[in-house]
Amino acid sequence: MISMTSLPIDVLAAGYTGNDNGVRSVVAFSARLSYLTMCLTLCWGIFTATGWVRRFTGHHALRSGHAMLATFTLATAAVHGFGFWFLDEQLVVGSQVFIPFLNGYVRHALGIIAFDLMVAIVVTAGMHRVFRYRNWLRFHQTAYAVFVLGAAHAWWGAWANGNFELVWLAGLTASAPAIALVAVRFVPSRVLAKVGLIEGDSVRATPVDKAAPLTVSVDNQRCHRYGFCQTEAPDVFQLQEDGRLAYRQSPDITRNLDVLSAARSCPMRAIEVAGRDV
Amino acid sequence: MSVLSRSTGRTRAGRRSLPVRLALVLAVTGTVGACGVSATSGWHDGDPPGRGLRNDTTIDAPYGPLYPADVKMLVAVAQAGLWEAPASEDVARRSTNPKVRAVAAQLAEEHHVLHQTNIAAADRLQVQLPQAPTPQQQGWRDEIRAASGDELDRVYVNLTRAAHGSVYMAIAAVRSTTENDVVRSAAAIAEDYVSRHMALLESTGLATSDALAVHSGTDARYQALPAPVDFVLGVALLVTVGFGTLLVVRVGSRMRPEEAAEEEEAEAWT
Repeated sequence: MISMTSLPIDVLAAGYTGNDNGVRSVVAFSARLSYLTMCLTLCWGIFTATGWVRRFTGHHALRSGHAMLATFTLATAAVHGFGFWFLDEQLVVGSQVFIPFLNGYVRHALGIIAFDLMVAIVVTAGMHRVFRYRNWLRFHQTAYAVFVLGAAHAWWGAWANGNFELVWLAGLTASAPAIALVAVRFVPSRVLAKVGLIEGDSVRATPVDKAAPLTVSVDNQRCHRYGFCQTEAPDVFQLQEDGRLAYRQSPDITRNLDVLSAARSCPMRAIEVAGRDV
Repeated sequence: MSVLSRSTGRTRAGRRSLPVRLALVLAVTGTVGACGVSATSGWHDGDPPGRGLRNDTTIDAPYGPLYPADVKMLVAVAQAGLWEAPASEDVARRSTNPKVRAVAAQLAEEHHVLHQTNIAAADRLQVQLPQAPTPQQQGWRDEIRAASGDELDRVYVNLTRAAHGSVYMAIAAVRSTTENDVVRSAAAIAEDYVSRHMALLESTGLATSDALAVHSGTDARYQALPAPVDFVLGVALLVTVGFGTLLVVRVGSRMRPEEAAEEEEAEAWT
């Protein structure tokens, strides 16, 4: 009876064979790690985009923290998805791991779509110079859809495996910050300042009129010569041979949208744009 | 793409360039097409049964080559016994329907015999068998344990009939394709038992056409839900942690150690 003594009785998620028991434990654990880091990535991303806690931590720390968490999410999600390849049970085989709906499960497809989008977002994250900042940002914002799909996949999966009670408290706690931040992210910042969530003077008192003449000024202490502004508005910002940044202080009114997008794309937040008195 | 279009002037806001539109059309067509593929070609059909079972590695064993599908069948039969025998004993005690009681009693008894045969075969081949049912099977046991009256009979007959159906398919594939003598005789015995059990369960007249087969990807039918206390606690945690995050934002947006340090630094330089 040697055969009966080797497997633990209380396996986290048992499959058919001993191999499957181990594989299922690993994919379940990586799924939970991935869920946690996905929630944190979203929080850090929102902090990076809004600068709400920038003064506390610094913009740079937020940005690199966001990138690190995103990489970790992708890695654990990859272990979770591709781990199913190693099941003897052949629940998900071959390209079914990364092509949605191929194995006929809608709940698997939700996670696969989220994973594919995540790969695309991570790949394009470092490609500011190839895409216009506005287009890049729109694509990067599909991460909100990834969060919704990923969370739906996670909770549905927990339900289907009979683990709903097990992950109930921890799952809600992990997602609470992300849900709270997403909720206030879509509220205009002036309203947030009015209710006292963020400080009033960190919001522009009067939004810049996009149709009126603008004044541009660059803080040379802050500028690190990334050149993103030149990509956005090449006829307003120009990096010189000697590394200095030349720019028009009063750009043409037709370039207003480019100028605003250049100011937003600056990783060092060195460009200040204000309305000009005519 | 957009960098290239820079020199020819900007496309008007709200309109997308041709390549972007083409990519969008392709993406939508691909997604919808994938749905169609999944609807018409299930993961489980295609190859004739048993063909894929030979492709994997062979395990060195006495009495002929041993394929993973052979081991899988031994494990599946063992795990079926681990939950069906106690569940049948339970129903044989509690059911009010004499027919169901008789069927459950016979299943419980025969499952013990089948289990012993199966363990003997696995021992001869030195195959490890699990000693616990899968969580899915545990969920079925819990569901049967929680039911009573007519509901108990209906749930028991349909769940065990579906479980037998899926085990039967695994057994039949191995019975017809295996090259291992011990596995072949174990499969022949198991096939006989499981086939008879399906007939017995159907003879109660309670089995419906939904209860044909299940596999591990099927959603759990029975769910241990959070207790009311845990439910309230979870919602309270969600609200507390959510507001805690917003509090951090509130405090964080008012703090300015970094800027203060920067200003000091700037002053020192001038």
